[in-house]
Amino acid sequence: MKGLLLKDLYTLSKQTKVYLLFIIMFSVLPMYNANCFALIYAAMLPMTALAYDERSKWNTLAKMMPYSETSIVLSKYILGFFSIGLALAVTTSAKLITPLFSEERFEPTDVMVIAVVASLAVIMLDVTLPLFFRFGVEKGRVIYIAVMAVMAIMVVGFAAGAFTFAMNSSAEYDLNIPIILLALLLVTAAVSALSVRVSVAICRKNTD
Amino acid sequence: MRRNDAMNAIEVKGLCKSYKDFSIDNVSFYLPSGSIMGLVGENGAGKSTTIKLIMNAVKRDSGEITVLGTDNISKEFHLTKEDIGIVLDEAYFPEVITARNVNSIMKNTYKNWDASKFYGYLSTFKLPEKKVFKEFSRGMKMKLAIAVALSHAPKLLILDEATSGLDPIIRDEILDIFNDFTRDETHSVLMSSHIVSDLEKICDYVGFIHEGKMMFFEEKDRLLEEYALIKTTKAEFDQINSGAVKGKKITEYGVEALVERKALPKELVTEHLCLEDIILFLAKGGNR
Repeated sequence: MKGLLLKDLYTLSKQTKVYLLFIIMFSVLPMYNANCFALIYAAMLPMTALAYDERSKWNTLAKMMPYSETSIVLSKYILGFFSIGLALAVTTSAKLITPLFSEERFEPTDVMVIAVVASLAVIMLDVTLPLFFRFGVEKGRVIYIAVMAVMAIMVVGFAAGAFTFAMNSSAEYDLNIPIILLALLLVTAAVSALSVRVSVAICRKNTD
Repeated sequence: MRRNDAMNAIEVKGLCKSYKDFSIDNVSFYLPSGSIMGLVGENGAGKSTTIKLIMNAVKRDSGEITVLGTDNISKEFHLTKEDIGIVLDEAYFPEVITARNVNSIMKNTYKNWDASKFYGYLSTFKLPEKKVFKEFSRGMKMKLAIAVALSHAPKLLILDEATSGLDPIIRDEILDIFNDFTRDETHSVLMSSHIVSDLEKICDYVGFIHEGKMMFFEEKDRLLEEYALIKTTKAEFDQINSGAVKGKKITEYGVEALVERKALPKELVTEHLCLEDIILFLAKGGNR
């Protein structure tokens, strides 16, 4: 597994630099919730790695090496989780640091928004990776764009809802943020576990 | 097919795999330890599919495959792969990585990875350590794949068209490496190729696969002893037992035929025979 992750990191080394630049750029943009795009962008990295694999026919070789189907699949999920995690860390740090240098106030609901978008990014990864494993990069990309469009609508809808909610929260609601974050984590973990199982089954079937 | 009592590196029995428009049909052969076996056949004959089936990269429909004593569909086969060096028709490494990167990847892939051996091969093959893979020539790419295959103490090398597309000098160098590898009698090589001359140079056993069927599997020397190539007149040819004729080419000047040597009259002069002749006659059947 470590070998597979290293291979992806070497392959994506150029992309990783651009990716880090994008994350930082999106994270510090003063636009409302623009930093959330960093999380969505981070979820795309495993798809790029899969595209490189397909181009070099790496998987043909990998199937003959001491890698199990599970480790081949898991390596892509771990890459995705790692990149989303990194984006989450940078985005959250930016949200915490920005008030020190500007008049912008830190709102607890900002953490909520970031957490929800991070969950959406992970779920997007969970939805698209099995499709890429099943249909390959070319067809998978078309499906990916459709998923992205749906996700974008959800993100925009959520952001608008969160904004309205934030405006009214002090008067009307008492939000238990830790409980909501825990629930989000559990739902996302469950979806990811299911997605990994489906991807492994697809990879096993691909050898039929 | 004769069986060898010594341990076999590979045993394939009654292997079947069907696709929509192609099938591997009841293929059987074995590779004794310490030997080199050539799997020969035209493009699309089923050589690569057979290799994928041996490595369980494709699931078989029926039959049995044992590699280094392990059933290839058992969970333990994952560990057996540590002892198998694999070289495919292309190197299949991502194009932006370097030989140094390959070392780091393989160090974290194979338990027995020997970095000093790998760098030794890079030096022997004059391969650059920092150049990206996409800038390698085909010969360099194949040499890198061979360096990887040899650097984790494999007991078995499986090579799928590893020499095709290479110039004769590099091919010769690479064949020498495979030959050296089998000096250790626990080492074996299965090598598929449609370049019969390469196989004739180094193989102990030859399997000829045609349209998914194993036409023959035999010791190379025995094959060359068993068959004879004759060029004769139509009248002389008609006197030979037709059952002994494995293939023939009739021209206006006479008949050229592959015949079982034991069926020939002693006075009949035979021509120099090479493996390629045997394969061409057998592939084309009764008429060329």
